[in-house]
Amino acid sequence: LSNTALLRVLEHVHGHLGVLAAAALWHPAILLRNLRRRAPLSAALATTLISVAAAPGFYLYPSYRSSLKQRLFLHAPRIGWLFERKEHLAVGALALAWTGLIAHLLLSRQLPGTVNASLARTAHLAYVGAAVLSTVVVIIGVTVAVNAPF
Amino acid sequence: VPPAAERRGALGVAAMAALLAVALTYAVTRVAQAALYPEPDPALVVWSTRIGMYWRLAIGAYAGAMVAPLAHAWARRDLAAATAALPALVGATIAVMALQSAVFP
Repeated sequence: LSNTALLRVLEHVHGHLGVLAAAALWHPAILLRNLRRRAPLSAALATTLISVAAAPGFYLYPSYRSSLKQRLFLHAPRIGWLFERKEHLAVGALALAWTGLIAHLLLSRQLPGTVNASLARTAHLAYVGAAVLSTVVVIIGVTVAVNAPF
Repeated sequence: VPPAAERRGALGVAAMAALLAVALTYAVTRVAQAALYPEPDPALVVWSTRIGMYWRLAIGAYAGAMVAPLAHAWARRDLAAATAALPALVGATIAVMALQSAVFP
């Protein structure tokens, strides 16, 4: 594989995993509306998926800057700025997903009801935030990939 | 509350506070960078030695590492109050990240 081909493969892997992660994050976001509901498997899988999806993006970012960014801003500055927005939102989505997972896994019968209620609210809100941000990230990512592939 | 559950709760609060601090610091750093030290037009930049996103993440990680022990100490003293603050912190993180991305990409 040439370097460009490898970047293209990674770009596709990143994009497909990102779409799956955004879809998966809606599952705990919806399930945990009911604050008494437990869904550790759903939360763990969705959080793992967004983490695995983020890894190639983190690796690809320097290559994007060196070989795509200037070209993108020259030909389509709006899409270039959209891409920058995507990176920021992805950082937020990842932090929120892990926050939601930790809050959900901390729920315990040994803790007082008020603490459990706060943790359940935290988990739900964090997963809603992660799902919304990652969905926006996916929409922007597809727009950028269509206009400026490696 | 059993001491083991309390310890686990405090560690969890510290981890969540650190994660949210990373995201908040990332957003605030980007706003400060864009407002105080505007970058040149990206269409004119061929190459730059530093990658802004990595630096913001590193600064965020530093802030998270400073916030974690403070949050842990607060949670050991009053777990109910520390966990009660988390939903507001999550809401603030979502709002700040969304606003920063929209206004200061």
